[in-house]
Order: sequence, then C-alpha cells, then structure tokens
Amino acid sequence: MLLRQVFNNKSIVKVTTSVLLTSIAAMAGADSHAPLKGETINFVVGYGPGGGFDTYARVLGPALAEELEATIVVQNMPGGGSRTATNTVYREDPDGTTIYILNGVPSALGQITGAPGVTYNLSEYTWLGRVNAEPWVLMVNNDSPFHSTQDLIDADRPIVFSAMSRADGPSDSAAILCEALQLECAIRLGFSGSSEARLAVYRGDADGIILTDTSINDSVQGDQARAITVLGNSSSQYFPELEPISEELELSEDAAFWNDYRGNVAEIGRSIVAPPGMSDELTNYLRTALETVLTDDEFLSELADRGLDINYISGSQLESIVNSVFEASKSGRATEIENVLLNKYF
Amino acid sequence: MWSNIIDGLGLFSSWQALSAVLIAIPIGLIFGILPGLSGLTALAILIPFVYGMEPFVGLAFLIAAHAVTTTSGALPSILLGIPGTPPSAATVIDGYPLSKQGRGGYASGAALASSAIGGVLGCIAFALLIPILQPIILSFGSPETFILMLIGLLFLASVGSGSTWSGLVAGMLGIFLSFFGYEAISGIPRFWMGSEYLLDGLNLIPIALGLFAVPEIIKLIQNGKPIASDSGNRTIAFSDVFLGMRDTVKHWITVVQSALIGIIVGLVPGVGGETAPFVAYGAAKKRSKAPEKFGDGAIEGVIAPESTNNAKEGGALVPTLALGIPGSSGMAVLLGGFIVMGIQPGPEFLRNNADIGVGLAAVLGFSNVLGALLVILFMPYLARVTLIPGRILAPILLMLVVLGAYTTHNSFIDVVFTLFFGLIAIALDKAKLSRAALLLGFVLGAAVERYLNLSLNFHGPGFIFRPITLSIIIVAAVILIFPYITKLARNRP
Repeated sequence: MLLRQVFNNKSIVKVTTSVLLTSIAAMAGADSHAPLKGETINFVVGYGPGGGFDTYARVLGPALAEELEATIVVQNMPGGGSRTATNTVYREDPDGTTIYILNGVPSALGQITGAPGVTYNLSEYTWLGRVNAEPWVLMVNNDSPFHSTQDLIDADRPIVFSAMSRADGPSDSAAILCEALQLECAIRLGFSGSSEARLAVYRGDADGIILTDTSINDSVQGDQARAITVLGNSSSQYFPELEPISEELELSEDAAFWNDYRGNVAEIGRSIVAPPGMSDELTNYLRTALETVLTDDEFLSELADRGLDINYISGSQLESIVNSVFEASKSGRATEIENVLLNKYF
Repeated sequence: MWSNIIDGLGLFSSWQALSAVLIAIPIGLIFGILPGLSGLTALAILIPFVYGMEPFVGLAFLIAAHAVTTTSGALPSILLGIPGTPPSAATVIDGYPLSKQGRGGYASGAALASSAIGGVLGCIAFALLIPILQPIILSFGSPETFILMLIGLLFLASVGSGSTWSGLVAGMLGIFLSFFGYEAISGIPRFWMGSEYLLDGLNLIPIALGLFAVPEIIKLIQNGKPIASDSGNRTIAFSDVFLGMRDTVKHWITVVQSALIGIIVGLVPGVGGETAPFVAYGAAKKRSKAPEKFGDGAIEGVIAPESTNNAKEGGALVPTLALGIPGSSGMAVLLGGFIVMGIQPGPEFLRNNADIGVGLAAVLGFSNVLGALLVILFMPYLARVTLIPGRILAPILLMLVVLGAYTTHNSFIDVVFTLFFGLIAIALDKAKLSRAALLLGFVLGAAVERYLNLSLNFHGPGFIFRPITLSIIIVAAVILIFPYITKLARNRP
C-alpha cells in the first residue's frame, strides 16, 4: 500500500521522470539553445532539510530541471542563519551550475547592519526571480489592550515586543514600526527561535511579535493571538480585513520612508539567485526558465494544494528592489537606519 | 472523551497505519544504531516520503521512526562506548564498563526494557495531559526553564565517575565551549576567530562523537583485542538479556523517576533533549545506595538515561501538538512534517482532532515496545560485536564516525572537529576529568545564559519568586539534600 502510495504520488513520479529525461538529455550532448543541457546544477539551500526553504527548493528543483534539461541537486548548506550559504554562493563561478534560494530579509539586513561574517554584496548577485514574499504582520496577545494600529499610537506605556536577535526579521520590523509611528517600545531579545518568541506572546510576557503573515495566520486560526497591523505597502491574503499601514494611516513623509524601506526589504522575500558576474545570455536564459516554471498554472495549483504560495516577480524587477534598498542604506540616513535597527528600541 | 479514545485507537489499528509503523520501526532502529545519525536526521530524511500519504498514516510513520532511534541508540553506547545518538551519551558512562566486563547483553537488556517502559509511560502522560495541555505549557516561562537548566548544571558533579572536581572542572570547560558563536541577546559572535563555521557555535554531534568515539577507537587500535576482552565470559546469551530486563523491573522506582524527568523536560520547549538523560543519571546516583559504583558499571546508570530518553518524546509531543511549538529539535522537524501534510498543530487542531492525538499516543507506545522487542530478538547476535578483534572493528567504526560527523551538516569541518575533540577526550582521560560532564556543561551552558537573560529582561531579578519557579527550587533542594539527611539519620547512634 505504501509503495502504491509512493508511486501514486505525482511529485515523486515527476522527479523520477525528470531525472530519467535529463540523463537521456545529457547523453545527447550540449545544445546552444539549452546551454545547461545535461549539466548538473547545485540548488543551494541555506538551511537544513525539512524547513520552508528546503521544501520550496525540493519542489521547484524537478520542474526547473525539466525546463533546463539539466539535473538539479538540492544541497543543504546550513550555518549562520543562511549566512554561510550566502557567502559561499557569492564566491562560486557564475557558469549556471550553482543557483541559490536566498532568504531576502536576513541577508539584506545582515549586509545593511554590517553583521559579523558577512562577506557578500547582494547588489552584485545575479537575480533570477522571486518565488514568494510575504507581508509582515503584527500579532498581539488575546488579552492585550491593543486592538488596532491606532491603539498602539494611543498607548500610555511602552509596547513590549519579543524577538530572537537584532536584525532578525521580527526585531527590525518592530523597530521600524516603532520609529515610523513614533511609538514607545521595548524589544526583548534572546529567544532561540520564532516559536519561542511567539510563545512569550501567548503567555502575555510580551504584547506582540511581527512575523510573516503565513506564520501569524497559524496563531490567529488557532485562536492564540490576533493580528492587528500589516507593515509595508502590500495587503495580506490571510488578513484581507487589515489594510497595510500605508493605506490605513496618513503617514508623514518620514513615516512613509521607514515603511517603504522595510516594505522593500520584505519584497526581496524568497528569491532565486546565481553568483555575481553571470553573462547576460545565461542570465536571461535562466530567468526565462524560472518564469516559465513559476507562472505555469498547473504547477502553481499543485503547489497551492501543498500550502506553498508563489508570488513571482521577474529577476529585473527584483534587481531594482534590491538596488533601492541599498541606495537608501547608502543615503544620508545610513547612520540613522543602523541606529534604529540595532540600538534605539533595545 | 471515550469516543475520541475509541476513534483514536481505530485510527491506529487501521492496516495502513499499522503497516506504516511496522515499516518505520526498523528504519528508525537502524538510524539509532549508526553513530552520529539521530532521530532528527531520520525525520529530515523521511519527511519527503510522506507526501501523498493520509495525514494520520504519515504522522504515524514519522513518529514511529523517530521514537525508536533512542531505543537502538543505546546499543552502540553500551557495546562500543560510542553514543548512537547524542541523548544516548549518558548511557556510555556505565553501559560501556559493563560491556568491557563481558556483560554487554545484561546492560543492553536493561536499557531496552527501561526504554520500552519509559516510552510507554511517556505516551500515557501525553494521553492524560491532552485535556489540560495548554495551561501547563503556558505556565512554563523563561524563569521556570532557567531553573530547570540550572538544576541540570547541579548534576555536573554527579556525572563524573571520580571526584566531584572531575565533574565540575570538565563541566566548566563544557560551559566555556558553549559560549562560542552568537551571543543570544547582543547577537555579537564570541570566539569565532573569523570562521563562518564558528558563528553558530560548536556543533553537538562532532563534540559527542569526538569525546566518546575517538578515544575508544584509538584504544581498540592500540591493543587490537575485542571490547569484551577484560572478561573471560565469551558467550552472550538471551539469559543475559533477560537478566538485565529483570533487574530493570527490580529498579522500577529509578525507571519511573527517570521517566518523569524525561516527561517534564520534554514538556518545556527550549530544554534540549540531551539534558534529560544526564539529569536522570545524576538523580539515580543521588538516590542509589551504592553511588560509588556509578561510572564502573552500575545498572541504574544504564536504566535511568534510557527510561528518560524514550519518555521525553511523549512529553515533547505535548507542546508540538497543543501549541505548534516544538518540544525538542526532532519535534521541530516533525512540525514541518505536519505542515507538509496540511495539518496545523495548535489548540484548534486538538479540539477538533483529539482522536488523532490519542492515535499518535498509541503509535508512540506501540513503537517503543515493539522497537525494544525487535532489538531484544537480535540482541545475542548484535552483542557479538564486542567479541570482534579491535584491529578489525576499529577501521569500521572510524568510517561510521567520519560518515556520521560529515552528514550532520555535509561539512568536512565537522569531521576535523570530531577528531579534535577526540584529542581533547584523551587529554581529559589522562587528567581524570569526566567526558560526560563536559558534554552536559556544553549542552546546558548557552541555554542557562539565554534563559537567565530572558528571565531578567522580562521579569527582573524577582523572577525566582514566581510560584512555579519557587516550587521547582524547593523540590530540587529537597531531592539534593534528602540523601545527606538520611545518611546523617543512619549514622546517628
């Protein structure tokens, strides 16, 4: 029965078929229209097996392999919260045999804040396309007095946020929300992961935590917390009743700067990149292949059945988002950005 | 309530679920036996295989494979002195000396019986706790976790086989090693020496393998004799295994006490599963009438960690299912498995699917018993490994250790660190310092620092007066002082 289930499983059959096809393709020799035909491509994941990034890579790999007529091998390279992989892929040859599913938020923030161990420059990476990006949403304890963004602004005491470490996603989004809305805040760090930091909110030790809408949705559906604020400029598919703060409030120019800044960092999301310096021909070839896979309706509905959302944007769009993030960081406000992200509310 | 129990048992006894469990158990047992491969690795590798399975069948498959890794993980600890999984490291302290005395079958029988009983107690605790899960977990905050960790550190002195200092000095070295990598609050890396590898701190598996496997392999190469050469007893029979099982039943208080420790540690998210066996070992030594035998082959020193190891998985399922918060690193990967199958654990899930909770408890209990029975069946053959000449066994073990170290993060640096910690272990042996205490210090050091900081940040210095925190302190003080009081009472004329 189990074997039958395995063979009834479309994805496994698809993987096997693609491996067979690509092996046959390899024997047929190289092709100028398919420059990676028969090659083995390392698809690097910056985390261990079993997590979200690994799942996306293992699902996308076979489909992309079929499109490129190549063999794709997923390589887990955990370490430094994906920093090891981001550094390593940055140094690889841009010959198309290495691609990487990059976690945009910590990678960008690590570079912006000059975190120890960062040797990459995201602006120089070859951006192939975005798999998905999720808006970041504030959830608060069910018994907390805060029911809306306005309640946060009207608070007569510091609002306590839980997070893991500086510039980890939850802490910088909390810092930027506090700066944009001029809130009195205390961000408490030290939790070993987002699960524990979230538990501090359920317990009432912290008022809230900011996480991606997918993560928040689990807690809200479980009646463990409520979502009240969506950061950035995109609304959340899980919380359509909440407007992003750019629409919910009339933001001052300064508040809009902070909101746009964090919104753009979040827009990098889960992206597929290749090492810097790739030829235009190969870049375009890979971008087109990725677009074909990530806009295929049948494939998308298969992913949706597994709860994997795709929110594709092209490599060139992604490149301009990344450039805008780093231009803002290099502007006259660089010191201020660093102060808000690393010191002011901690 | 009753309908949930009947439905849950119905789910478990469906032929699809039973066949999944029967396939998973041998897979899990193999993962446990191979040094360096843990339950965590088993889950990570097996998750892709559950795509497309019925949710309960897939979960039963994963939980069964994970549950039995610690059952068979005891065997390399006892027979070879090499922990099959990091939580089995505490079993080495007394299990391996027993093997050297030619009593490997006896120690293994005790380990397997206590694993099975501990596992069943863990699953009973899980089933009983289902209705009151959420308030229990939410009442354990950072202060309570900190105090539990601190109590773990108090046992450093107990896990040293020699003097108290042997444990304390090695434990402090372990705590120092735990400070490598990012500091929890500031995010500033310490002692990373510009190496990306050290940013996350030192890895547990190379340390555990280096400390326990390398010195034994070197000894085997040096003398070329079989492990059980110290003893004239060359035969390993079922009767040895049954003797071990009988002695486990005789020490039932140790089994129950250790299982309770495992359940509590499993319940509290954040307390690593590697801590529990050492705490149980220390507690068993404290209440033993002959603590001086610990370290030289006391059977309670095998029973306690093994009962805890299997019991804690029942406890760890509680926060995973009740809150979607994993109670151990294995459970964190299992949570990924739940999500792959479209199940979102949390209070809502348990309210609507209590039958699945009961069914999974049944899977856990069944796997623990069947896993132990299967190993017992093959025990006399497996234990013959202690009769293989060292010059043949050593290269095979070295290959397994290198593979185990490498597969943790697909990194050769882990292999280098395994060998480095092997050298440290030899130096520790020369200085008569406890290797187990170093490992316990390493596991607890960073966590104690993290939870102390969190407790102070959120609650201030008054955190120790929270009711549960204070109760844990009082209970621990009584347990620690009680043996001295009884000793005093006995010595009075």
